Amino acid sequence: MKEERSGPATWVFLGTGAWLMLGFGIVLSLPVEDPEAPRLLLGLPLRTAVLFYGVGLAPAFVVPWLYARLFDAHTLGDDDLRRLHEASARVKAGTSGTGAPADGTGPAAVDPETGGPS
Amino acid sequence: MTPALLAAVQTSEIPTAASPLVIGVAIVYFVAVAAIAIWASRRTKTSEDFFLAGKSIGLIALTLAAMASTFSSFTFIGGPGLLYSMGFGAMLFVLPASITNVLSAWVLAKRLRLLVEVRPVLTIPDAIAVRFGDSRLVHGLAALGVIAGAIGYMGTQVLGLGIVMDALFGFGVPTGIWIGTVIVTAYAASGGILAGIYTDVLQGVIMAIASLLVFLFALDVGGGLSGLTTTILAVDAAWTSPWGSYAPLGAMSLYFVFSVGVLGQPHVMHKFFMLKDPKRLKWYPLLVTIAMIVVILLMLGVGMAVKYLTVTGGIPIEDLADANAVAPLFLLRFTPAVLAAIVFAGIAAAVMSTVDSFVNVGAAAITHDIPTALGRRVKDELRGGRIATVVLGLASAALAQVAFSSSTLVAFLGIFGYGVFAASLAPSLAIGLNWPRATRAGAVASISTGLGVSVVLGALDFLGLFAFPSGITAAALALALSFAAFLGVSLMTSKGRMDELPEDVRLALRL
Repeated sequence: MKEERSGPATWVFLGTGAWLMLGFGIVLSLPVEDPEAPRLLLGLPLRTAVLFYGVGLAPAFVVPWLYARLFDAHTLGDDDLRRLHEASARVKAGTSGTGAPADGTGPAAVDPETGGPS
Repeated sequence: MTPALLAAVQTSEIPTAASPLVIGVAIVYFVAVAAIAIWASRRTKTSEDFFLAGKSIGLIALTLAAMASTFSSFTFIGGPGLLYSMGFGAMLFVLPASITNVLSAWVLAKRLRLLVEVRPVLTIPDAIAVRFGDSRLVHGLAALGVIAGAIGYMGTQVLGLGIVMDALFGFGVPTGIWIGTVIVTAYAASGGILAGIYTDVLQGVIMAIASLLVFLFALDVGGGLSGLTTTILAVDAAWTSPWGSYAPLGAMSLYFVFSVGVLGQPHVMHKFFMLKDPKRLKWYPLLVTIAMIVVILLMLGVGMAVKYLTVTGGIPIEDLADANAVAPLFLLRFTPAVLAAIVFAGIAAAVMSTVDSFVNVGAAAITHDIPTALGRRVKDELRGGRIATVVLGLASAALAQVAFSSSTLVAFLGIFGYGVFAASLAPSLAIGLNWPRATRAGAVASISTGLGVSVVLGALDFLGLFAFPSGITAAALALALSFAAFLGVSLMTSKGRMDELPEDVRLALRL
């Protein structure tokens, strides 16, 4: 169930991390600004612009947008909620193995996907 | 914000803005808050209403409330002052906002919200306890972490509120502390988190509008972003460098610490429980990130504009001996009076929204979590919550009163509050809700370690009995040890793993 669905989120996380490292790397590798002849990008010195716009602003829009794009299919869909409510109903009705008693000992008895023994 | 900065903000004087216009705007704002409190108190009939707003809030309310309670006076006072003093490197404190919201949504928000679908979860310690097999020990330890952190943080926030009230009305910080506390406590006790959420919405709107307008005025001072940058660069090139006055490594470490630290902040995480429909989380990260960026513009704009004005002679540098006077000075001298008045109301709003969130999670821990951990239930949790809110509010005001005379104590409380939250809760939440192999013993070890190390090392540091090397704090060490304890003990034990949980809880955590 979840194992195959978590793939896109993992890639987004890894991609974001790589993007941030790339951004910081570029900032560190660019030469210090010459006050006599500054190179500005969108109103900021080049290195600062890479940091603000690249590390700061770009992920602020792209990553949440990806989150929204992936939400229904890979985060939480109608079917997920339905299965959750069904599982909750089974537990409340006592027809589901509760996995662990209140003290947390013992194995789970029911598989969440099938509702059968795990 | 960093507790050290918070402490710096709250132990300094800011110029008094008291004028008929400022007072008038502030009074209108407080009347609106009172109206919301009255409305909310009529809708608050159960403990679920009081602590979870009846699980009835929508996406916009969640967005604005989360933004407002995340930002405190730092955004309006400390932040611009820090930027003015340290240069662009100060933005590393707030740039993590671009990823923290989506990080918390992906790692925590959905799981926390889904737990509410299957269990009567009211609080963050409730959720942690459910994850670890309804363990009362885990529940109690997490509640202690919340109470300790909330008291520490609220002491500094209430002191900040007193300073803002003094700036608005000019009647002195001690009086401001008590009047501010009475206002926040009144609406938090009567309307619970429902009042907190909808005053946060009002406060968030004020903060966003004020910040955007001030940013535009700040740009206008220097002829746009390029004009400001070019002028400052010619005089102080280091200021405009990406790291400002910070060392590159130190600045980058700030970025990563603040990226992860948000995962342990219960006053923000708690709000995920209140969302009416979990599927509305879809657009939450994007909306809250945009809202935060808008508010952060004030810090960037004012910090740059005042730096520009000092290098061009527009503001005598001797007027800025205290960096925390940067924003008030700019507002009072370079923006229309009505805008300054709105921003000052916004500053009060920022602090009050943070305080009301902390007082609610603290009251829930006292009324609900500790008794549950002890195997008892408060018969009337709604009444208990209201009483706990008043007690916590008064205790915070008393603490703030004491802290007012001791900058060391303010710094300690702020660092302690932030550190305890992060060290005691972040591993159990961030890893515990996601890692199937996390165990109950791991959670106990992590919370105990985080809480214990924070208290012991923090106290030793405060009393001057132990000094950390530069750049290392008790909070950071406690957080690292707490993560290590969680991982290490979980790998060595097995009870309380995710596969032992009831079917519905397991599914809520695995979806």
